Amino acid sequence: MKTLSMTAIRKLAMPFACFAVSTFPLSMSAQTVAPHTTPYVVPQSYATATSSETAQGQSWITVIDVSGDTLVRAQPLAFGSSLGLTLDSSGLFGQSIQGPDSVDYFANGTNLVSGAVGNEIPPSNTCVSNLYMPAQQQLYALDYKSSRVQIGYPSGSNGAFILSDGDTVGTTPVGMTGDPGTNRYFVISQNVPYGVACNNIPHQVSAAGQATIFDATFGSTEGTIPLGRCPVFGLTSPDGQRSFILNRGDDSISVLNVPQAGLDQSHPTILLPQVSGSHAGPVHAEYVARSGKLLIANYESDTVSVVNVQLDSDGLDGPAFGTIVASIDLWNGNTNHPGQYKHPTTIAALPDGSRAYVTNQSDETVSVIDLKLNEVVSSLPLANNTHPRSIAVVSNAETNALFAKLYISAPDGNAIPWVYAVDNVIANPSCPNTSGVCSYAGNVTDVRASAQDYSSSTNKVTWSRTAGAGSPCELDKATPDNLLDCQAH
Amino acid sequence: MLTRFIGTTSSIIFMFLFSGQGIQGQSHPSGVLQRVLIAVQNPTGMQGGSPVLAPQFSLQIANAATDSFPTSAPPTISGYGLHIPASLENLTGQGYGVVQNEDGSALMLNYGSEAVSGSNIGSASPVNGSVLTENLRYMITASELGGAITVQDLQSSNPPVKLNLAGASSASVIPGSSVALVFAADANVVYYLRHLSATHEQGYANGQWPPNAVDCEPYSLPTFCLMQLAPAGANVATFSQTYFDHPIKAVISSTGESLFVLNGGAEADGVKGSVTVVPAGPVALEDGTQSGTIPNSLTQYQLAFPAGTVYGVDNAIAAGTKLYVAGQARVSPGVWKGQLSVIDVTTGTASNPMNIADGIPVRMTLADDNTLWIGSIRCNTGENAQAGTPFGCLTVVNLTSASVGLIEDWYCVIDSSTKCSGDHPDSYRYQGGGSGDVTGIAPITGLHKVYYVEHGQVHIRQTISPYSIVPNNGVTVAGVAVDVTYMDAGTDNDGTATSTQR
Repeated sequence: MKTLSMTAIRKLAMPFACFAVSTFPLSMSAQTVAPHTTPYVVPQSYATATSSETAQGQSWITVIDVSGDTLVRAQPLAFGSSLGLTLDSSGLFGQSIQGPDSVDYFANGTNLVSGAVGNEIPPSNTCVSNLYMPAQQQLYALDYKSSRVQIGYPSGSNGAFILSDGDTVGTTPVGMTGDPGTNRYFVISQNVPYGVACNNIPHQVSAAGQATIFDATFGSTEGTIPLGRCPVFGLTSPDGQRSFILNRGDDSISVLNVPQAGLDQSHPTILLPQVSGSHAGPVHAEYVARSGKLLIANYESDTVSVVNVQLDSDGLDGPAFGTIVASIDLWNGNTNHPGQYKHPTTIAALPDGSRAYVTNQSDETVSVIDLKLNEVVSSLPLANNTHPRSIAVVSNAETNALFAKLYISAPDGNAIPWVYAVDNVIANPSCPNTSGVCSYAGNVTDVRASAQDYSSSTNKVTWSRTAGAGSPCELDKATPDNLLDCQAH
Repeated sequence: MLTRFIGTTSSIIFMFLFSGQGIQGQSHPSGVLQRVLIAVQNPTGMQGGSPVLAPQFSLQIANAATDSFPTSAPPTISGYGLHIPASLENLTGQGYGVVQNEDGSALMLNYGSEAVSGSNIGSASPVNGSVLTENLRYMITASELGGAITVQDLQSSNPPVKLNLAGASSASVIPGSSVALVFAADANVVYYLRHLSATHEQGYANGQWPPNAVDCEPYSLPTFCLMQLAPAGANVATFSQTYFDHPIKAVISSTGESLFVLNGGAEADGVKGSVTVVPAGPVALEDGTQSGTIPNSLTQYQLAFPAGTVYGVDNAIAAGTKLYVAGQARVSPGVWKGQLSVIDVTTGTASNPMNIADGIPVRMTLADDNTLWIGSIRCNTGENAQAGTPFGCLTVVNLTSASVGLIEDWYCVIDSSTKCSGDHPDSYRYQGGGSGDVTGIAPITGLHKVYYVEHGQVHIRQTISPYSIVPNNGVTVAGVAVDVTYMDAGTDNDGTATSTQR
C-alpha cells in the first residue's frame, strides 16, 4: 500500500466573490492492481478528467486515450478547482467552470499536444452554476446570481466562446436538457435561494421547481413548465421526444413532451416508490435507448428504479409507459447492514442495454447490474478510500458492448479507476504513475468520455451535470458554503 | 433481436434443391471452396491519432478446410468497410448473406462474387435488429427507440412500411418465409405480420382494420397489418395473459406445423419461463395462404424446475422430437446459472434441467456428430464466476446421450504475464484475461468441426468428444471478431439467434 498526501489548502477570493472555494487535505491509499498491458482494440475515444486545484493553485485537465489508457495530454487550467465539466457532441471541445465567474475552454482532440486552452469571462456580476454544450459550436452557461441563461457565441475555431446574458429563468438554475435536433431545451431551476437545501434537506423544501423553455434558435425563452420540489437533474431521450426531470424533494420524475413543450399529457409525473419507509432520493438517471428504459439512481433508498418509457412510432406513450419495471436493491436483499449505506450518485448503462454500473459514494464500490435479471451481479471495490460520483462509458459497439470501458472519478482521489466490462473487473491504479489513468495533478473532480454514450457520428448530448449534483454534502466538508462548494467536495 | 427459425429437414432440402445447387464448388474470387466468413471490428487497430471511429471494418474469408487464410492479407468481402459489423445472417441456400451493422444499416452479401450487393436494406439509425426472409424478399426491422416494426418489400419500389408498436424488440421468421412473428418488450402479447392481398388492401383502407390488428399501413391503402395473436372474438389481453409470459422469440418445430413461442419469464420482467405451442397455419405471412384458425386454448410446455425456483428462458432449438430450451435460473439474489431443459414434444414433458455455461445463451446451433453447441454471453457474472471457480461461455451437448459433453472451464487473473487455467492453449485468448462471451457459432458441416467467436477472437473445436481445440493460429484476426458463419454450408442452419439478444 502506498499513501499519498495532498496539501492543497487554499481559499480563493474572487473578484465578484460569489463564494469562496476551498479544498482540504486528503489522504489516499493506493492499491496496486495490474492494468491491462495488452489492450484490446477499442474505439478511438478519449476520457477527459478535470481536477481540483493543486498546491500551485491551478487545476488541470487530463486526457487519456481509451485504447491503451495512455496519457495524451495534461494541461493546466485557471486558478481554482474545476467545478464543472462539459464536452460538446464531438467530444473534441470542452469547457470547465473555474470558479463561478471564470470559464475555461479547451480543445480536446484536434491537437492533443497543443490544443487551445483559454479563459472566457462571463458577463460581470454573474455566477456560473453549470455549463451545457449540446452540440458543436453551442455553449450555454447558467447564471445563478441573476437567474439567467448565458449564451455562448463562438469566437474563432479554437473552441472559445464569448458569453452574453440571455433571458431570465427560475431561481437557482442547476441544469439544462433538451433536444439538439430541434434546438429546444429546458433550463431546470429549483426556485429556492442558491444554497444546499436541495442537497441536504430536499424533503423540507416547499417550493416547486420549474423548467424554463429555451429556444436556442432564437436565443429566447418561451414560458415555463412546473416541476416537483428540488429538481436536480434532467435528461432527454435521444429521439428528442421526452425529457425526464428528477425531483429529489418529491421522489418523482416530471415527464416533459419536448415537441409540445409541456408536461406529458398521459404521464406528467412518475412517482418513485419508497423502500422501507425511506425516501427514494433520485439524483441521477440514464436512458437506455435499446430497451426504452429509464434507470434512476436513488440516493436515499439505495435502489435503482427501472422505468418503462417506451413510445410508439407516433411519439405517443406506449401501453407500459411509466411502469416501474423493477426496483433493484443495491444490497441484493441483504438487510444486515445497520448504519451502512451505498448512496448511489451516478449510473451509466452499456449501450447494448445489458448492464448498468452504479457508483456508490458511501461504500466506495461500483455495483454491476444485469438489466435482464434486474439484480446486482457484482460489486467492484474502489481502492484508496475514495468516494465516487461520476462515471463515463465508452463502448466498441451498441449491439454487444463486449469491450466497453467505464471511467470513474472520485473527488478525494487522484486516480481514475476504470471498469472493463468484458472482464468484469475494476482497475485501481496507483497514482501518480505513468499509466495515464491518473489525474496529472490534483484530485479528480469529474470525468467524461469523448463519445458520451456510444461511438456514433450522430452522438447527442442531452444532459448537463456537475459532479455530485443532488447528493448531500456529507463527505469531507460538513458545512459547505454553497451549492457548488457542496458538489465539489 | 431478430431471428430465423431453425428449418425443418424437409424445408432445408427443398430450399437447397430450389436454389439449384448451392454454391459449393463454384469458383470465387478468394479461390476458397469451404469459406468461413468472419465479421471483424477495427481490424487495423485504432490507437491514437485520428478522430472517433475511423472507417475500418471488414468481413474476412478463411478456409475451413485448412483452418487458415489463403493469403497473408485475408480476402474480404469487397465493397464493405464503412460500417461496424454487428452480426451475420447466413442465406447460403440463396447464395447470399446479410451483415447487420451497428448503425442500423444492413447489406446483402453476394457469396458468388464475394461482394456487397446493392445498397442499404436496413435502417438509417440504430435498431434492435433486422432479418431478411429466406426468399430474399422482406427485410424486417425492429426498433424499440423508434417504436415500430418496419417491413421493406425488396420486390417493390414502395417505401418501407412502418408498423406502430411501442417496445418493438424482435421478430422471428421461418424458412420458406411463411411466418413472421413479432415481439415487444414488457408485453405479454405475440404479434404476427400479414402481407395483404390486393382485395384486403382495399378493404382495410383508411383505418378499416380487421379484428386483432394493431396497425395496418400505409393508412390509406395498407399493404401490411400487424396482428395480435389471439382467437377471433377473444379478449386479447386475457388470452395472452393466460398463455404467454413475456414472450421473446419463437422457433419452429421439426414438422414445420407448430411454432414454439419462448416465454422469457423472470428474464424478461415476467414470472417464469415456459414454451407455448402455436399452430403455424393461421398466422401465415402471405394473405390467402393461411389455414385453420387460432385455437381458443394453446398448449404450454412447463419446465421441470423445483417449486419456488425463479427462472427464465432465453433460447431454444428443435431437433427431431426434442426441443432444447436454454435459460437461466436464480441460485440466490444476484446469482444465476445457465440451464438446459429437453422437452419431448410428443408428450410435452421436460427433463430435469442440466447445468450449462452461465450467462445468456444467445447462440444454439446443431453440428456434426449429433451435437448441439450453445454460446453464451455474460458468463463472467454467473454462479461459477461469483464462486471463484473456473467458468466459460461455451457448452457442447451430446444429443445422442442427451448429456452435456463440455462446458468450457477456465479463468484468468487480470495480469497479462499470467497464463490461464483451463484447457485452452491459444495464447491469443489470454491477452488481458477475460471470460469469453461467445457471439457467433458456425458448424462446418461435414468437416466435424465448429468455428466460434469467443472473447472477440475466432476459435475452432472438433465435434467429436472430447471436442478438442483445433489450432486457430491460421485464422486469428487482428481487431475484434463479432460473428462467424459458414458461407458454403449445405443449409442456412447457423443458429437461432443473432448476437443482438440481450
